[in-house]
Amino acid sequence: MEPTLLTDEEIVSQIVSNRDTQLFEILYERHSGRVYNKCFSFVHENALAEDLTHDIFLKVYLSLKSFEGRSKFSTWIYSITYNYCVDTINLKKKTTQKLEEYQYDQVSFTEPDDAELFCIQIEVLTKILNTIRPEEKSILLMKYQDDFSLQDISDSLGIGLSAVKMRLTRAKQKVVDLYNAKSSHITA
Amino acid sequence: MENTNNIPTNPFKLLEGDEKVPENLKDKVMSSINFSNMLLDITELFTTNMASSVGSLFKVDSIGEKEEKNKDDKENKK
Repeated sequence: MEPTLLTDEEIVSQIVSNRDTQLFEILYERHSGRVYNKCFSFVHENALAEDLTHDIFLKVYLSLKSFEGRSKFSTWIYSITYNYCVDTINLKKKTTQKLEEYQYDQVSFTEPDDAELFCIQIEVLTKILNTIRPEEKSILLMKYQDDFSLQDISDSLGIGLSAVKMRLTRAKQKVVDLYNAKSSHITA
Repeated sequence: MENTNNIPTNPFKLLEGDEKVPENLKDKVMSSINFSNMLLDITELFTTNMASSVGSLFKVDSIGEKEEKNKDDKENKK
């Protein structure tokens, strides 16, 4: 069969069995655009997004044996992308984030409705996502942009389902709070 | 931003950027992968040979093998 007609998962199993790097090029062609744009959305810098994409694809290649096929390959590669971006950003600004996290954790949370989240205009949402912590941004993108199931997010972050629900609720609440704060600031 | 049923469209779906992937990135990725493959091959070569070498140095015969060897030795002496 023509290699380009193979599914991602079939390609992965062939690469694992015979280390065919040519086949990996097909995976690169299929996913590099989205991986690069995800990286860019976190770092807002072309050179850094390029470095991250390079490292992510190398990491993906070296980890192919550990892909178990429990989720789609695309889910797996985007999960690696989010984790790598979050780790890179956190490494850069560790101390300031801890302080912000502490301050925000003092607030109690109620789960906002998805409709509240979906009412936010794209430009405003982009700005808000750039101000919240990368962990919060990534969990929201996993859920609402890439349609990860709760189990996929749980596998990706290595935390339990209840912790996933808690983090999602907090992230949603934070976005809605920031949106309301911005709106009231504009109307005032 | 709203569809015909008045259900708000998910704005997260519209957030994906349209930045172009640098053209030379694919070559960089593939050359790094080929290099890592070469390193893996070298490592494999050494680790498998080392394992078999060390294994042969410290090879201990099983009881069955020892008995057979003893038999052979006795027969040879006769």
